[in-house]
Amino acid sequence: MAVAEQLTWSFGDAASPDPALLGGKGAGLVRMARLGLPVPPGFILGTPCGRAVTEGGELPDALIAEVDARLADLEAGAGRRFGDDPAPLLVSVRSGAPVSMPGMMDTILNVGLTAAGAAALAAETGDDAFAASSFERLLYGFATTVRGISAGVVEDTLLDLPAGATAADRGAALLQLIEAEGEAAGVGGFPSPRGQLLESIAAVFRSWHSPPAKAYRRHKGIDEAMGTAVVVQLMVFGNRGQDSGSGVCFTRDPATGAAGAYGDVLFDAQGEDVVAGERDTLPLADLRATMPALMDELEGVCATLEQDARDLCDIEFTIEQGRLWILQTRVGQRSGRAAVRLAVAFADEGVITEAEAVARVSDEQLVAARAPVFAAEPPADVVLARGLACSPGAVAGVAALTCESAQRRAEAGESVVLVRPTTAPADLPGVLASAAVVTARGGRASHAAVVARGLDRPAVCGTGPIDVTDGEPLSVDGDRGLVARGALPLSAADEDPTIKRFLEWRDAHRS
Amino acid sequence: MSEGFELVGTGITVVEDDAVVEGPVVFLDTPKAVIEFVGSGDVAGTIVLARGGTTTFLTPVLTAGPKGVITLQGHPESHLGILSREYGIPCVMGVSFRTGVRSDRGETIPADGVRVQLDVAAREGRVLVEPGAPVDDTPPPEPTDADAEAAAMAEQIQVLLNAFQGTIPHGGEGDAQTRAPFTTDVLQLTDENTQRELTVTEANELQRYMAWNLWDFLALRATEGESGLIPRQEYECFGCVQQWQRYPDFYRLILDKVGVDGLIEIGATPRREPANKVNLLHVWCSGFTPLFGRAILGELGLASTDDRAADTRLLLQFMRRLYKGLWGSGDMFTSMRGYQAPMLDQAWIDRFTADQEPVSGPDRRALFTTFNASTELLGFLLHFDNRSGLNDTGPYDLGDGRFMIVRDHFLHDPMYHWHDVAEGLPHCITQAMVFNTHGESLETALMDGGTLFTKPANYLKHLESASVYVRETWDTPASDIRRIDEGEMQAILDLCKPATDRLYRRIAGMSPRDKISCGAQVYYGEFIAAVARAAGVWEQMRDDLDFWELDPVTSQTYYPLVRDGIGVQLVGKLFITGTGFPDLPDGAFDEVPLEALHPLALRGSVAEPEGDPTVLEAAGLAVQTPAGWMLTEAGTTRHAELLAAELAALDTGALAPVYERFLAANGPFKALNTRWQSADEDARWALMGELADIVGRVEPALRRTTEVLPRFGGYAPRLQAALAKVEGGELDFVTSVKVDSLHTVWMELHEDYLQTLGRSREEEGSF
Repeated sequence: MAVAEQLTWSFGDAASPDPALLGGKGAGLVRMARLGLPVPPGFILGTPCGRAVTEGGELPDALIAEVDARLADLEAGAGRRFGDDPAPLLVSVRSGAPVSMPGMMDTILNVGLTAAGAAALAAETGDDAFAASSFERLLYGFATTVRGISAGVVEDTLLDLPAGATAADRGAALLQLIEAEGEAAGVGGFPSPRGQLLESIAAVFRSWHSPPAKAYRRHKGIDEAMGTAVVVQLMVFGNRGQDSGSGVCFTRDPATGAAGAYGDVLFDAQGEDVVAGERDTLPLADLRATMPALMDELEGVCATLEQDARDLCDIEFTIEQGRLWILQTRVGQRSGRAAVRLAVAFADEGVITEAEAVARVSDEQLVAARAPVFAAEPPADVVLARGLACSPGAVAGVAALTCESAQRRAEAGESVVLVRPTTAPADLPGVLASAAVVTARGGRASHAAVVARGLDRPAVCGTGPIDVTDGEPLSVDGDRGLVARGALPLSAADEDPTIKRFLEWRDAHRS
Repeated sequence: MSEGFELVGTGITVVEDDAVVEGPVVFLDTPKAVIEFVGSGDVAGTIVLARGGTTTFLTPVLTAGPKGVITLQGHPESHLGILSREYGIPCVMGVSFRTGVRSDRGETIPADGVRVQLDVAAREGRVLVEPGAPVDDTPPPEPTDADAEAAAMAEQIQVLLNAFQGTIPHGGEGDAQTRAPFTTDVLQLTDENTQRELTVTEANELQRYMAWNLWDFLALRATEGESGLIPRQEYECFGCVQQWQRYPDFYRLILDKVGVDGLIEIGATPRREPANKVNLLHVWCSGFTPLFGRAILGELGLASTDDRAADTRLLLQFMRRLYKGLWGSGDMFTSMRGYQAPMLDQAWIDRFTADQEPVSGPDRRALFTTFNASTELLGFLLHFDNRSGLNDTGPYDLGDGRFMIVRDHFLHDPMYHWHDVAEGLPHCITQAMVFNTHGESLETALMDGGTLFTKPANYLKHLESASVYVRETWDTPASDIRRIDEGEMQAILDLCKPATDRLYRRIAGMSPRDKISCGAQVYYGEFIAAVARAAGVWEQMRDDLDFWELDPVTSQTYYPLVRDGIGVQLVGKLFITGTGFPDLPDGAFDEVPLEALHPLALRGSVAEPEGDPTVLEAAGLAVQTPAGWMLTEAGTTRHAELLAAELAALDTGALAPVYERFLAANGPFKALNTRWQSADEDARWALMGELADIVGRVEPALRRTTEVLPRFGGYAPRLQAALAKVEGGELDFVTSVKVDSLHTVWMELHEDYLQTLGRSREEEGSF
């Protein structure tokens, strides 16, 4: 191996987004940076580094020197300093192999914080809880993922704390644990910011050699020489107040294929809060109302990404104090109906050819697309409630307000719409007996949503209180996220002009 | 006594009298023979001989007034004994003849037409026959082993008839001995112990007393032998099983409707008014007969008497609550109250006393005794030969050695279709009878079954005055119970005789199965309908809840109990040996622990619950549905109670930090599920590691929870099992609801925490 070989790349200076060199995640970030999108800055340790790192995880000096240099660039660009600074620089460290595999280290967040740094962050942001929970998060990840202290030991330490313990209490306990375990193992206590970064990088490379990763590569015939990259990126925070937030955005509606950005946002929240569904997310319309310029910027990002990918994309974004950051993007998952509409739309727009359009829709998606749908948005006076479109599909049936009712009606051969405040396990027999599910509370990650998606049944969640009586005819549109009174007319999808055209293309291109 | 008559047999005299009666004897062994005899013979001059001691077989004969009655089986406490007493017909029961001819069944009896004498001067009644009476000299069959066994058994039975389980006597002494070892106050009715549930010890002590009490009252009846008309013991045991199968649900319905206090209030009915079927007998039967059904099922091997312990507890306490109303408080049974049952409010006694008219002169005495006997006989027949058509209360002490007995005879109840024969008769006639013994000894005993017994048996000769009342229908207000005069008494008598004859002929023409069906209908309907009417749920039970339909288990007992005749043996055995109310095992009332109900409550339905779900079903707590086993309403209630009890005893402070750590993992877990569902296959491989991390992360919290609540011990292994499936490539085991996936187990775990800690998803904001 040539000694002079370049080992690291900043997102902006990589020659091309090559996953073999930069890993999947790194290549994606480079691609976005090259498109001029607002990506938090960072750098990549390429796959050749991994080959130079032993199974013990010792980093070569040359690599350490390059990391130091990259870090200096990052500090300069961000106007923050790694270590004890009034404005501490924080980074995340992720693994980034060219293909995903089990056993690889996931992500360490908030690398660079120390007890003093946390105090500085608290002073800077005026938010003690934010600083404490950021530090707790680093310590938890560092203890389990980098130092390999078992989750059992870490959790037992936290469980010994009294009820009502704060993030600061937990942080202190974790710090003590890391110090004690580190002394015992002879690897030292909780390191300096630079030490945290180097240990985290080493841990990623070490995880490449973990038994599950090795077994997976053997099983899949993946070359051991492939190696993993490491992504180091500036942390941005969506939980810095009401001018901050996190969200998920699709370039078009992944359920219907309709044009226009589609997604959810949560203000004053981290990305994980959006996915966890513990809080009810808001539609992007709310973002447009509060931050119109930022919404315009996001739509610009959508257009750029879609043009580049020539396909529907989904985007994870964070807003930090009014500034938009794009964290990740990938080709978006979509419903069968959306797959057909998107393929036809992209062909009509000249983005892809008819042949490509036909190839993009799987048989499974086509079957789903041909399922009956509600032809049009129903008149406002029959719309009973709107909520989150948690699982697609169209069902007209009768309302059941209890599981007993759902089971009884299903046994009698009725098509049942289960309407519940929330779902608990005891509701599952009712869900199984129903053709669609509506819940007043809960988001996309609520039990009802997870279960309905797993069963391929329409679900609308988070409708709020809903005025319906048992036995009343209802229609559930899991694509539009609405519940309507009465049985709405279903149209056979084959009469839909878009599907008709697609089927013609399909006949023409498949012979 | 006429010269030359020869003593051929002895038995027990029902009512002692100095006069010897004499006349030709006729053996009646079928209803047809009875009807023909009454139609053609000189009833008044004849002494009739019957096989058994049941009441109604001889009905037409009794109403026509024979010269005397002899039975081969039975005892004066039997219904026929009571009846012949009321009619004043000389009667000797349980006679075994030394010589004579042979009946169809090989019994030795005097030949028809032979003149016999009945000597009833002493308790041992004697039967003599005229000289030259035919004698069958053929030697009796050689005694077989079976005969020897039967003889040995008869000896054993005699021991058990003389003393309860061979040791405890009848009466006050028996009461004291039975109660002596008891450690609870279950036989004392208090506000406290009628509101709450009984403990196992209380239930068992009450049942032991019930066994003695039943024996004390009825053991002798067990020997009354067979009826030629109505197979009463057969339908009774059949009816008892049906009661045990169905009463508990109806009792719950009644309790739901009126509550405990409302039930106690219904139990107080016999203090407020006579002529109501909520009376001493029916209150006694509300617990005794259905529990007897439980013992019969046990004897048949169709169920264990330990089964459905909650129902046993319910029945016992239901009966106690009725008694609480009846007595107010204190001793539960008349056997504890010196066999005295004066329960009517003094206002009634005052009214009855004021209304008294002397029973003076032979005509008036004859009218009264005939009226009493005829209405009683019809009451028996209308109720298919069982006791529920009559009820006595008293004695009410009037001073000067005088006392009053208040006696109800129920003659018409729209519940039974054959009561059409009693059209025009009132629902009930009530006789207030005042006795004056003028210093002669007369012991009275009012048994818990609502029947007066006296020693000596002939109490009617002390009757001094009486007044008679009618209640037209069961729902006639008590204020409209009105007195009737001699003219109306005669009018009732005039209706009784043809009604009795018609019903006798109708029953005689019924198939055996019809008789069982009607009899069981009485036995099953009788002991709940009056209380249900008072509670306002009778129509609902009858019309909406298929009250009259047979339970499948009852149906199943028909052949062994009725057709194969096991029922008669069982009733005798359970009465005599005092085994009708077996103890429940320790812990019987908590045999359904929270752990058994909890999975059903958590999951809504469970296809294959751990343990034996039929235990839950038997306790009325769960049912099997196409979706799996589910809790009933009672089960849901019971689960909530058990959970609340657990929470009350739980150190929630210790669990609070544990639950916080669970919640710290809950958000990431749910986010992971959502990411999983939208991830492609490649990305899922990376997520698998995160799933494993999160399972590892929650395990310490689970371990600590399990230290406090062992039932949480199942979650960690289930999560590990699901994880192993996922890592083995069965990706359904992440979120599928159809398998024990990570999501399924996690969701249940979270719900368990919420229920256990009494928290709601709303207050926690997690859905």
